[in-house]
Amino acid sequence: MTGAALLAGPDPRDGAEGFAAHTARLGALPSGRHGLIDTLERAGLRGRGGASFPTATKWRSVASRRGDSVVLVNGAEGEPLSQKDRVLMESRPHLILDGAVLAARATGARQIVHYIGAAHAGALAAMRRAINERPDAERRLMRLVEAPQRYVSGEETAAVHFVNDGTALPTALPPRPFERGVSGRPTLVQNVETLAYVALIARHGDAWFRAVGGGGSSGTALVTVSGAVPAASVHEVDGSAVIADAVNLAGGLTSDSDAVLLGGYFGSWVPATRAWALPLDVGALSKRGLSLGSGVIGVLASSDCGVEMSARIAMYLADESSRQCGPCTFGLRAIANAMRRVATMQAGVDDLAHVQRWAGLLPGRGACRHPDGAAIMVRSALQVFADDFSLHVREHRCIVPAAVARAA
Amino acid sequence: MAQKPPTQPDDGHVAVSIDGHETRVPKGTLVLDAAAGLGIHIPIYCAHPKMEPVAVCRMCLVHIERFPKPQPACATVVADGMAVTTDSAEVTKIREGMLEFLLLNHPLDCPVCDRGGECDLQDFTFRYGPSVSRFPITEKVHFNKAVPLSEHIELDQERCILCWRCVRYYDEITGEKEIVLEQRGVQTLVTTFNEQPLRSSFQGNLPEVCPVGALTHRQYRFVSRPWDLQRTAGVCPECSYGCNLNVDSRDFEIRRFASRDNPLVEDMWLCDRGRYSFPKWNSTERVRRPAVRPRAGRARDTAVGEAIAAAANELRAVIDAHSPSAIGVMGSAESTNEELFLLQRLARDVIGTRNIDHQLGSFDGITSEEHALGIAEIEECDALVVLGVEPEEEAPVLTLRLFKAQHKRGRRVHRVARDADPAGVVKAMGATTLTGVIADETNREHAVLVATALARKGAVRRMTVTRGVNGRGAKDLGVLPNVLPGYRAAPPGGKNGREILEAAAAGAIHALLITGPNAALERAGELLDRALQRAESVIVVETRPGKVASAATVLIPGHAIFEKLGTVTNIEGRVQRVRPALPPAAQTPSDTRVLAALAAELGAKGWERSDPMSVNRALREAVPAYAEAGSGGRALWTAERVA
Repeated sequence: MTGAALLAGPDPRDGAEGFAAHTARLGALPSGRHGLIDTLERAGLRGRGGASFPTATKWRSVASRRGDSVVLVNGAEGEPLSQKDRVLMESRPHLILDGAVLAARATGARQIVHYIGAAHAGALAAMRRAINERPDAERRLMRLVEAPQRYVSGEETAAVHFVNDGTALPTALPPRPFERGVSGRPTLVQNVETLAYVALIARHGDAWFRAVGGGGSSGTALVTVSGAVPAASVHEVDGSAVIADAVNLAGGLTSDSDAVLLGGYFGSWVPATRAWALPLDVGALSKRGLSLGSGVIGVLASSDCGVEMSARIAMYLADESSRQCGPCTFGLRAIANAMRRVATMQAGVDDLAHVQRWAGLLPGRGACRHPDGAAIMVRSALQVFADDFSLHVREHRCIVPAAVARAA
Repeated sequence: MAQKPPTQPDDGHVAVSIDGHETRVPKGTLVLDAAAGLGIHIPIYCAHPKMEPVAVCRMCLVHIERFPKPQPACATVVADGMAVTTDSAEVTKIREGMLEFLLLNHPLDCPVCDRGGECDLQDFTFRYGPSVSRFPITEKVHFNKAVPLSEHIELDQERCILCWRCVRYYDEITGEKEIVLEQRGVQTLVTTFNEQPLRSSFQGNLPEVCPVGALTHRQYRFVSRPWDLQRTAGVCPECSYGCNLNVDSRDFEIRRFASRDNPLVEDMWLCDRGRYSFPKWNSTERVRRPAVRPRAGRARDTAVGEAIAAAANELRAVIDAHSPSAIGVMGSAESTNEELFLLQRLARDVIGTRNIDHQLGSFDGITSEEHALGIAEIEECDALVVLGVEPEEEAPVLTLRLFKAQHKRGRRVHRVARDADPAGVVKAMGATTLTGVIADETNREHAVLVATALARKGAVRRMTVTRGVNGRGAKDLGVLPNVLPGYRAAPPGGKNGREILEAAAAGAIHALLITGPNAALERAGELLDRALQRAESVIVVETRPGKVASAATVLIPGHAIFEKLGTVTNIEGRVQRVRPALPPAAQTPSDTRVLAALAAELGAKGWERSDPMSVNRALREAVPAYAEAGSGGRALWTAERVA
C-alpha cells in the first residue's frame, strides 16, 4: 500500500538528496534518447499536475514539431491543499532534473525552464542548489523562474505566458504551448512529479513502473492529506492503497468526518462512507467518475460545515480566476456569491437551483479549464451536502453552529 | 444528402460546411467570417472586425466536428473539410447561458440608456436569449453610473460587459494607453490609465467600439433614441481626408456624426475634431436673405432673381468700363465639385477672366502626381516619409493609417522635419521599392525635392494633404489661375488668390465674385479688408455672416454642405457624394442654380440644366478622370506637368 519509488532512499524530511548521493543510489542517468517515449507509453504514465494527461502523447506532440523546443518544469503548485510538489522538490530535486534532461533529449529541447512557486522558499533553494550540482552541459540549458503565487499560475498556458512576458494568466487563443510556447518554440509543460517518474522509468523500465503500482494502473502517487488529521502531510502510496490508508499514514482522523475533497479545489467532494474504501489509482477512480487530480485528500472535520467550506473554495476560485473569459468573470462569480449567501443564511430556495444550473453552464466554455474545475467542485458539493444546503436555505440553520459565525 | 464536391486544385481555398451549407473560403478565414459569408450570423462581443481576436467573451462558441469542446468562431481558422454547427441545441444553450451571465450583473436600465435600440446586448438577448426572465431573483452589484473620462466621454461602469474592446482599441488602433481594466478586489472595472482624463484625439470612436452603453458621448447623452434619428450618408466636412460618416439628425438638427465604415478611407475611425464638429452645422447664424447694397445707394433685402440681375449688372459694368480681367473670382474649398466646375466655367467662359483661385498662395507647377498615393495604398509602401507635423494636424485620421501600416503591416514610417534635407532623408531610408511621401499643400515645393531625391532609389508616390473638404476638387477642376479642369494648362496671366486681393486693394481689380465659406480668404486678414473696401463691386454667395458677407454689394445666401446634393473629392482623389441631411436655411435656390442664373443673366447660352446631377454629368464629360471615378472611386491621371 505505501509505495517507495519517488521517495525511496533517505527520509524526505532530511532535506534534499545531493547529486552524488542521488547518482550513487540510482546510477548514472541513462541516455534515454531512443525509445524513451515508447517506454513511457507502454508504462502508461500520466501527468501528475491534475489533468492526468498521457505523458507519451504530450511528448510526441512536442517532439514532432520542427525546430528546437523548450521544457518547462512546472513546480508552481498553486493548489492550496497540495504540498506534494514542494516536498518532492525539497527532497528529490535531482530526480526532477533527471526527468527534465531526459525530456529535453527526447523532445529536442535546448532550454529547460524551471517554473517554481515564489512562495515555496524551501523548494526554490533546493532546486537552485541542485541545478548548480549538475554537469555544466546540463546546467547551461537550465534557468529558474519564480512563479507568482496565484491559483492559475500553474496552468500551462499561464506558465508559458509568464515566462514570455511576465503575465501569469492563461491565454485564450491558440497556439497551444506544444505548438508555440516559450520564446515561440514548441514547449513541453510538465509537472515535477511526472518528470521524477520519467527519471525512474528510464532507469527501471515500464514493467517496473506497472509493478511498483501495486496492481494499480499508474505506479505510486504522492498525496497530500489535510483537514481532520494531526497535520497536513505528504505520502507516497501505490494503487492498492485506499483513502483510509492515506489518512492513517497521516496519523489518523482527529475527528469524525462526513466527506473528503478528493483531487483539490478542482476536485470532487466524496461522502466519507464511500471515500474510505476508494483506491488511490487514476484508472480505478476515473471508472467511478472521480480524479486524483493533484493528489489532494482534504478530510472535512466535524467542526467544519461542508456548505461553508465549499462556498469559501468557490469564492477563492472566483477571486483567483484570471477574469478574462465571460463564464468565469460573470458565471463563476455569480455562483460564488450565491453560495456565500447560502453559507451565511441569506439565500432563498431559488439560489440553489440557480447555482445548480449555472454550474452546468461553465464546463467547456472558458479558454482554460478553470471554470470546468470549479464546476466539478460545486456540483459535487450540492450533491454530497444536499441536506446541509437544504437546511441552510429552508431553515437558515447549520448543523455546525460555529461555522455560521466564521462564514459571516 | 449534400454531394461531396470533387477534389479541387489547391487555389488557396478550403472547403467548409456550416450548418450543412458548403462553402469555399480563402485559407486563414475565421469561422465567424466564413459563416457571415453564408449569411449565418454568430453573435460576438469581444470580437471586432478591425481588431485581432481575443476570444474572451465566449459568446461565439460553436460546435466543430471532432473538437472535444465548443470553439470560439471569432478565433478559429477554418480547416479543409471542417464541419461547423451554429444552430444546435448545444450552441443555443451556450448562448442562453452566456447572456444570462451577462445580464446577471447588467443594470437593465435600457429605458434610459443612450444605446437602447442599437445595443448588442439588447439585440442578442432578443435574438438568442432565453424567453424566460430570471431577473428578479438576482442581487445587482452597483457601481458608478456616470464617470466622466474626459470632456467627450462618460462611462457607466454598471453596463460594462468586460469585452476588452476599448482597451484593445487603444492598443491596436491608436497605439496610446489610456484605458485599463483594473481588478479591484472581486470586481473588474474599466478605468482610465493612472486615473488621468483621456487625451487622445480619437476618443469619439470608443462609444462605437463599445458593444453596450458603457462608454457614451457626453455630447449625445440623453439626447435621442436611435430610432428617432434620421440617417444620411455623408462626408466629414472638417478636413480634406474625406472620412465617410453618417449624419444622424432629428427635428432638423444634427445630433451626432457616426462612423460609416469605408475601409479605403477612414477605415471606420473618425477623429474627435471631425466627429464633434457637428453643432456648427446647426448654427442659426446664417445668411438667409438676398440683399443688394450698392456702394452709392440704399441697402435693401430683395428677391433672389433681383439680386442675381443686380450682380450681373455690376459685373457687366466693370467689364464695360475696364475689361474682364478687372474681375477676380474666388471659389471655396468647401464647395461641391459641381459648384466649382460651374464657377470656373462662369469665370473663364462667361466673364472671360483668368483671375480665379480658391486660396491665397501659388500653386505653380501643380501636377496630378502630387496626389498619386491613395490612402489605403499607404499600407502597401515599404516606407513612408511624412514631412512635418502639418499633414497629421490637418488630417488627423491619417495618423491611424500610418500606425496601421507600421504596426500591422510592418512598414517603416519616417517622420521628418518639414524642411528635412532630401539627401539626409534618402540616406536614412535605406533600400525601398516603393516609398510614400506625404506633405501638406503648403509644403509642396519641398516635397518635390524630397520625392525627386528618393526617386533615384525606387518608386515614389506622393500624397498632398489639401485644405478644405474639397480642396482637392478645386484643383482637379481648375479653380486655379494656372490650370484648367483636369490639370490642362491654362493660358498664362491669371492672378492667384493673393494677387487678386492685392490688385483689388490697389484698385486694379474692380469687382470680386466670392463663393462659399472661405477659410483661406479669412487668413488674408488686413489685405482682405482693404480689398473688400476698395472693390467697387463685391458679389458674394455665402452661408455665414461675417466679414465677406458684410462687405457684399450683392449678397446671395448659399446652401451649407449638409443641405445640398453634390460630390466632393478627398486628398487621394476619391469622388464622394454629399446629400442633404437638413432643409436649407435659406429659401433661395441651390448654389449651382444661382451660378447658372448669373451666367444666363450675363448672356451665356446652354446653362439651362443647372441642377447638381446635370452639372455632374457635364463635369464628367469635361473631365474623363471624374467619369471613370464615378461615385466613390478615385479620379486618377497619368502624370502631366503643368506650367
